[in-house]
Amino acid sequence: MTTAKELQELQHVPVEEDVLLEVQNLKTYYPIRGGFFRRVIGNVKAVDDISFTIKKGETLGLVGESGCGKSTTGRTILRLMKPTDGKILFEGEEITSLAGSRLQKARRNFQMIFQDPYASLNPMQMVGDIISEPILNYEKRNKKELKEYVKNLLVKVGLPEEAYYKYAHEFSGGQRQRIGIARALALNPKLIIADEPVSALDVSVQSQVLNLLKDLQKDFGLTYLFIAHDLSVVKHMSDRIGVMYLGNLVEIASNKDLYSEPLHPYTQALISAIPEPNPALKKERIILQGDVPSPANPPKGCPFHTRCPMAQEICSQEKPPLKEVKPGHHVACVLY
Amino acid sequence: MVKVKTSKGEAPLLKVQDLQTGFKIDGDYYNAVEKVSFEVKPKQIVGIVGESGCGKSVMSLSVMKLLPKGAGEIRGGQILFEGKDVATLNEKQMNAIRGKDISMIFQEPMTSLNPVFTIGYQIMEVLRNHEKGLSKKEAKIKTIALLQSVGIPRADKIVDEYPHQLSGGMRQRVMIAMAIACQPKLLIADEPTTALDVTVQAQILDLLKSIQEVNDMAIILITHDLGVVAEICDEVIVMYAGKIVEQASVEELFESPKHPYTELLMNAIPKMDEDVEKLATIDGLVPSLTKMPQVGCRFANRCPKAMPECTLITPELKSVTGGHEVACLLYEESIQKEGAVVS
Repeated sequence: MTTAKELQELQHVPVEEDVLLEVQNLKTYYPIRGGFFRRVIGNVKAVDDISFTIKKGETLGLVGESGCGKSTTGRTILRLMKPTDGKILFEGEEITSLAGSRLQKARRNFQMIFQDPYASLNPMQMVGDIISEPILNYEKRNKKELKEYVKNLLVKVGLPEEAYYKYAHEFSGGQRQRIGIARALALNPKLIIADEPVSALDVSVQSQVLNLLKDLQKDFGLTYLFIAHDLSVVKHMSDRIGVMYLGNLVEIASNKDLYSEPLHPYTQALISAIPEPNPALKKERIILQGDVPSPANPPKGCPFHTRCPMAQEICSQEKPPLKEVKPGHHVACVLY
Repeated sequence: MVKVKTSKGEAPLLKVQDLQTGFKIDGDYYNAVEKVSFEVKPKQIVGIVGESGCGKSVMSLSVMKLLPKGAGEIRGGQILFEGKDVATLNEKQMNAIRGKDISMIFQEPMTSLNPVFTIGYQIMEVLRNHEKGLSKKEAKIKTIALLQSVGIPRADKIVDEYPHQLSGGMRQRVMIAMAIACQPKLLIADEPTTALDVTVQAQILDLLKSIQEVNDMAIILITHDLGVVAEICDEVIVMYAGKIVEQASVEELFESPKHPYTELLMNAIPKMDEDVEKLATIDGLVPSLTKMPQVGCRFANRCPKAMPECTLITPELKSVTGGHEVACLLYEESIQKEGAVVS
């Protein structure tokens, strides 16, 4: 028997305005050049055919190990990289082929928070100028008004107003990340892509920044694409989570489903590998053999078959497509 | 996982007594490690946790006597390794111990391996330094066996390759092979898995644990990840601003953390098995070396449970229940009435 709620979920087709971002069959390859005249002799398939949507107001987490293409996905959505193939639709408008002033106009709606708060702030600029710059790129503002606005923003991200007149080196890592967040918020964007925003921070500071990001989401009605390698952090932040492996999206599901019932063998191994801060909870660990293969020369078939404890013969021949096996739970594996 | 329990009476392998390590800043010495005492028993895995700037690494570098020359110096206390005070040894005597009896692995395997020498050469160097009379051929055979023991595939080929040809996890395995080449009694691992991915981290932790069991080695594991500590350590030391604030067995510490700092650290990490809307935070920062409070608890200005006395009385590390030690005034009365040192 289907309950009313399940029925509703089954019938729920995302309406145009419900979806903020839609990524369709996105591919981003980096060319490898070599030989005579530095011709393209191969491609690093950083992102290889992935599709997903992000609804307004939700947080989609992207997890995976280094080199799996999660950062490239984020950068391609921001159009910091040119996609090799596929479409990116932002509020129904295709942004894949935009260029010049139209791209700049579209970019106003999405901003990024970077991993390294030390490298992503200009050391020669006053904090106030760092945050004002994105605004001045788009509009002329009264100087006094702008200053007031920026100071307000600083207070919102938990910094004192005086921070306006200081330089990046005068702040600690956590405070610098707050400056980066204020800069991302300056244009009142609809989508924020946070690429490993807390991985360079100590746990005590990490929790401050995570709490801040959650509060701001409520206050500003933000939508996040949250990229991280730390599964417990992603779980804490996200409504839905996508798991990437070697440029492919292998599983995507709601936060609850993914952790209570991971389907893909890679997701299972990833979750079991997290060291649990509780010695009383001894669990059976799945320890994967070997390393992630090079994305310049990915294995044929399922990208994970070389390390998969459940690999069958078919896995090395065909790449399984991402299928919906339960409402809202998609997985790319022949087992399902 | 079976925990190796060591009997209480066993003589410690390493005994650090009132260690003080200072750094020279503008002509004055400031102590990054302030009167730290602890013991490591044979075959024990001791975890040291704390935020960056807590003195974890400085303490381990003091034990290895690898402090930057001219800037850092051991200013007091003893480091007794098998009863011998390492702190007083000269460079030559120390070289005989380093790599043989005590060895160390670091966080970033790429920067600790020499990029211009083959992997085999670098491991053979350790072997031939400590085992005089070992021929090149024998050393190479031994090196290949070592690489195999740390789970490196194609070990006979990898010996002739260079560090840049390996992945991060493989490089860390090479570092481990080098560190255990002479079967040391103590391995100091400074954030050995921080730069690695979580599935590779699981492999490396597994490897460390099995080597520890096979070689009967003790490990000091320095990390900021409480998950890693819970996974493989027997005993945990929590450091804050150059001092030990709490020490207990791993079960005891996670079961009932006593110091407010330890409690906050544990509640600040998102857990897999529970959902919380707000994570615990610790306001402020670890005080810098030059601004370290000389009197009172060093955590007082960030502590949610701070009392007026906390800035006046320096808490001493004292035992609360068998083996569980904590340095906090909150537990002072339950230990002894007049115990506090009033400065």
